[in-house]
Amino acid sequence: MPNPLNGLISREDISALAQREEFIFDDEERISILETMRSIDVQACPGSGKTTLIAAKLILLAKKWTLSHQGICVLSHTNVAKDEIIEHLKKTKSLEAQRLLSYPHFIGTIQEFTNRFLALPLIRSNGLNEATVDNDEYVRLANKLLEQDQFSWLKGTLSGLGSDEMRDGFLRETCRLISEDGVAVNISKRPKAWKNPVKLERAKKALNQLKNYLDERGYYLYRDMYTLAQLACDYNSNLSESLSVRFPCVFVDEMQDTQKFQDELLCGIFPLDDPDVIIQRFGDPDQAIFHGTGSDESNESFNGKLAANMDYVVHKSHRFDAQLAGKIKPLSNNGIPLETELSEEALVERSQAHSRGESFEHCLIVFNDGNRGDALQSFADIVSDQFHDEYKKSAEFLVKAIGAVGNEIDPGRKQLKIGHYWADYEKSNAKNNFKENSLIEAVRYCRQSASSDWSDGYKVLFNSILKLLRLAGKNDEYGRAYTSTSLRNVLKAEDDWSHFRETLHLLLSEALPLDQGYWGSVCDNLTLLFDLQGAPEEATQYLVYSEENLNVENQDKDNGAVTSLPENMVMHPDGFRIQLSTIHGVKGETHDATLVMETRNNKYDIGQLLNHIAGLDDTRHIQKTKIKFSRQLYVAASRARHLLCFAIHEDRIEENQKTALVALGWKIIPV
Amino acid sequence: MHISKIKIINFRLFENIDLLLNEGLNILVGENDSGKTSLIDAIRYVLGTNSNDRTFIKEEDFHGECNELSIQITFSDVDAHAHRFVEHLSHEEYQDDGDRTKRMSVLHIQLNAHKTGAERRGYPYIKTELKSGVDGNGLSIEAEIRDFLSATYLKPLRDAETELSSGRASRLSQILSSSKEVKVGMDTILSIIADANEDLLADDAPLKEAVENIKNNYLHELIFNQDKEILGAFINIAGVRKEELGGLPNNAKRRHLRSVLEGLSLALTKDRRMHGLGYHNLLFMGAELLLLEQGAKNEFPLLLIEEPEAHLHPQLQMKLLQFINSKVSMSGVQCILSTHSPNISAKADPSEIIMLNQGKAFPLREGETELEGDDYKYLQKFLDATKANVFFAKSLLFVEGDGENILLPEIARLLGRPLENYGVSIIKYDNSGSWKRFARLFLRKDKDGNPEDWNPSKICVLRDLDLWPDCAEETEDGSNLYGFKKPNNGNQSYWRRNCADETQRVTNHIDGLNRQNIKVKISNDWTFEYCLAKYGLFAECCLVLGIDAIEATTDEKATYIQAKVSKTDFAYNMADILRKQLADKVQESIDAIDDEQKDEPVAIASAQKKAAIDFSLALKEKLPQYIVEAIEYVTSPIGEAEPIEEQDDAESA
Repeated sequence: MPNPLNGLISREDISALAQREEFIFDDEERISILETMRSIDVQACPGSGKTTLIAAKLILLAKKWTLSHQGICVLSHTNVAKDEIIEHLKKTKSLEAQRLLSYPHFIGTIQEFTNRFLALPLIRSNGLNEATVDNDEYVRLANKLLEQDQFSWLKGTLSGLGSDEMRDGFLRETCRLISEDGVAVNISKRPKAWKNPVKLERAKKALNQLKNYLDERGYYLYRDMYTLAQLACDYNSNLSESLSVRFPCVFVDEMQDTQKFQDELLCGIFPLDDPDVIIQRFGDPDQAIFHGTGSDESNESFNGKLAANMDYVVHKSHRFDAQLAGKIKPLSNNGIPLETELSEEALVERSQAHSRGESFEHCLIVFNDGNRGDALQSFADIVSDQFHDEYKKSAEFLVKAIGAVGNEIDPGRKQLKIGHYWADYEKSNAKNNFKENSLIEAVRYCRQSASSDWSDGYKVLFNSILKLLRLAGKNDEYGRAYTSTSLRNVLKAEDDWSHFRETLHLLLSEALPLDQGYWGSVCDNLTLLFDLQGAPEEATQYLVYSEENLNVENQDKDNGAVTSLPENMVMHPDGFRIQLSTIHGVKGETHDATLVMETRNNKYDIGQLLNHIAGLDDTRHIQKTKIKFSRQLYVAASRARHLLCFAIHEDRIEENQKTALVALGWKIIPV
Repeated sequence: MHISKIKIINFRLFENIDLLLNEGLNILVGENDSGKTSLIDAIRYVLGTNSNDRTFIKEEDFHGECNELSIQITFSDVDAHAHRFVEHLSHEEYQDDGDRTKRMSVLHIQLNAHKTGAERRGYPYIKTELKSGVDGNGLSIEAEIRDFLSATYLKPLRDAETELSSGRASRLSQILSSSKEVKVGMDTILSIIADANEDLLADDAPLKEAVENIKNNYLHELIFNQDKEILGAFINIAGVRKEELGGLPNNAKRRHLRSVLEGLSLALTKDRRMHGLGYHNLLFMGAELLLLEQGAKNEFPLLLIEEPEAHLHPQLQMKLLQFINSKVSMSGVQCILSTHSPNISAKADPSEIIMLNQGKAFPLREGETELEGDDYKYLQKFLDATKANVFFAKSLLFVEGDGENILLPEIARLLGRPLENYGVSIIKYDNSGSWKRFARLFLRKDKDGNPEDWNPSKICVLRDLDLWPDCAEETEDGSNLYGFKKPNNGNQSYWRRNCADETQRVTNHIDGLNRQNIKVKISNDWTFEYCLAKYGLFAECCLVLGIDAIEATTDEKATYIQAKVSKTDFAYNMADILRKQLADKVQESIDAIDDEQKDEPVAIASAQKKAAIDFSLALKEKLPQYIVEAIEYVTSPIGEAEPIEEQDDAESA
């Protein structure tokens, strides 16, 4: 029987939508993707407008959707991508599209999907009322449990891992995994004390006990949810079919970031060859970067595909002009013929970003051992020179310097990491791991954060409030630490929610300067709201006012040097900031200018691919490291929409390469 | 998919019950205020209904002084529909054939309500939530899912005529617009209406003229000149105009159709205005069942019916049950029906019956009572409308013969314990051992040790000991003056002299069923009448039979009577005599009143009462012990200190 959803969307529908929503779908590729109602894999290049495409398709489907208890499932890897799709749907004039935001449809991350439909129902079936799915909370409780006498041996041996951070890292991996021998707690590292098989058995037993305690208290790692989901499907054999009947149409965004275990779960529920389910997966294998450690492993079913095996390849980008597209193209390991799709109009508009209305000159900054620390300065100067003053001043102006390897430097070893370019760089302060010591630091962080996304700041701040409540010993009705959900519910129940949100909004908005007076009123406000009068020392300390540590006392405005700011930021005297980050940390972002710094992971990444960048080699990489490098550098380079720079050591660039690069339009700039 | 379980805590008279339901038909029986309506309401509150009755938890719905209540409904066998609520499922463990642990999907829907102490618009504000999960620990239930689960509810004693008449959002318009035929024929219906519209408003039609009159002479006199151009008046049927019909989108057509349908009413064809309410009732139920069946694919087909017997004579009641039964088995409809009708409960398979009693539920399903397979078949055959009283009485007296059946109610009344005042039904069983099946009907399986789980109905079974004294033997030599039984091979076991252990015989007669709230009382001697004669009513017996009294031993006297009793007349006449004795006593007592008080009603009433009490106490002494015990058990103990119920037949006697 043909799938009843076939032919649901017509070309007339598409042009009507394009007209109404002012979308531009003028290429056959995109129109065909919108129209087709079979399972497809789509490789979408950076800046291809993939999210818009998915949103458009959802709006089209919503208009035609008649099933009352079956829906569309939209899965993404990150909350950011999910929110983007939801925003698209909320903004559209189509009333029907609003229905996609609720039952029977689902829009969320793969994690949320797994939790909602499989893992949490199983947990609840076992009588647990509330589950905390959060790696940090989990590790915190695990550490607390380790203080019990019965775990003293386990705790002692775990100290053999070297540091508290290492132990936390170990605990963070203690998820349950299914293997042929059944379900067991994952052991990611073995301290020396466990070498002996008898000791190892003892350790396993103790870990299992610890894990059981965490289960009983409802604390889980994110990864545990997938194991529970799998168990639910295994034990209840009709479950996955129920899910595939519920969602006859599934979209997966950011498919390249889907991990192997996630992909396996999804393929089990929505088999790719099931004629009754339409699975449309969008992603870019060229941008698939994984740590490759522990469970962080790439999916094969999508990322293993060559461009030729994709059903569609969208290779036209709204992000780059022809020159920049040409420079990034050689890094595509799938050999996508990256092209620009900018209109003349857009090009003229873009030229206003340049200081002289010209096109940008993309540079290779070449340093040596002596001046490596100045490479960032060189980049800042190039940015300062090429961008128009007005443009640089705008709040949205975003410049980043990124490298593949960002962790702590071990001085004794031959390494090249972000920290070698800028001594103040510390991984622990990188964006995703921001840890504040007081609430005001969090507010400052959010206000300064390069991200213009208000919801990011809101989340950070919300988490800080949760931390404040923990420190103050405030718990929910079940006596457990508040989660964002439970706090919201309590505040809503007491009609304090809108007031609370306003407070956060005001803190984030920069409408009021963060001076001592304002801060005092904020603290009074929170004290009243959460009844913090007489709260423990830790809580009051957390609320204390502190001056902003700008680290710029010796700043000499005239020498043109960049200076460090907190949170891995440097500031150019022109007033713009450059954020340092790992490549991993900027996935999905778009910058005005990006510096890609060479780093070393056994080999030097840029050096390994320079022949490709210089157009001297266009073979497809087959060696694993090279594939990894090329994907990382492809992600890195394709962040920039105006200016792209590389920083490379002079030892890793040959004269013939320089010549070829210059011929391609690169500018070689020695530090 | 069906409701397999209902768990109610602190809702009305239910403090805490856990009730398993049958997949098909469930018949709720029980006396008034036993919880039948509350059980159906509990389901309605949780699942909602697809008629327009919105239900809210009210303060009176909370049990006693409780501030919280919860009702949980569990659906089993949900796989075919599980996709609709995957996120709400609970995975229940079970062992498969290979003894491996597996899980199956069930759906729990739980309504929690609590009093907030606050008021809203002058009423106490009660907060409710509807959640899934084993303990209501799951997600909130979406309106779409509740719509799917909602029940078809047929109210008791409904005014069927009103339900089927026209009006805005009338039930009939809902039923009709869901029917397949109307859906398919929508265009035809609308074009007929549009034609009619044109005809009605043709230029010289009376309606047209009336409208013109309204417009020209009233409307236009009341508005400004410049508005006259744009404001007119027109009349139409359901807003349908011929010229617009073609271009209307479907949803607009459906709107017009609905207003057409709202103008219709359904009535019986033999159109004499006053039709029996009963037939209207049937017509209405028929229409509702049509809707239920049509929706069965996309909605969970649950039918709640309260007291469908209203206005129906017994044969129609049985036909109705038969009809519902066929729907249940053919369309997979689950039905929960409450009834007071002995006709319906007698016709039903006893395993489908759920007895409600004092806020507790006692399903008669196999496994819940001590009834076994063939008991059900037997009971279904044996139960008729009179015996179906077993499902509605507070207490039951099971008796062996007509004598007891006729006389015991009279004796109880004379003892000041009229059976009807205590909700006691008296039922005569046949001699196939059927009394045991009735007993097992009330014995909860494996619950001997849990008095709180016992069926609270008090059941008393009276059995004859059936031991014949020697003096009953008709001897060759005539030495036994009153003997009338000849020993033979067949009756050896009846002779008392052959009975080695009389206690053992009593035990055998009780047959291990003297358990829970069941008492089996064995007559002290041979039969009921024998005992009456032996223990104090010999003179009355002689009077009844019109025979002379004799001087002999009590056993001889009783044998003398036993030999003569043969017809039910004995019982009727005995009742008359006892009543007469009481009347005489009362008269004596009134006569004995002092002359100056003779006309005072208080004095007379008091004299009557005293006479009645004296009589009952005297009668109690003359009755065989097992009879007194039986009556006391199903009513209440008879003591000297205790006043006798005001309402006494002595007055009328």
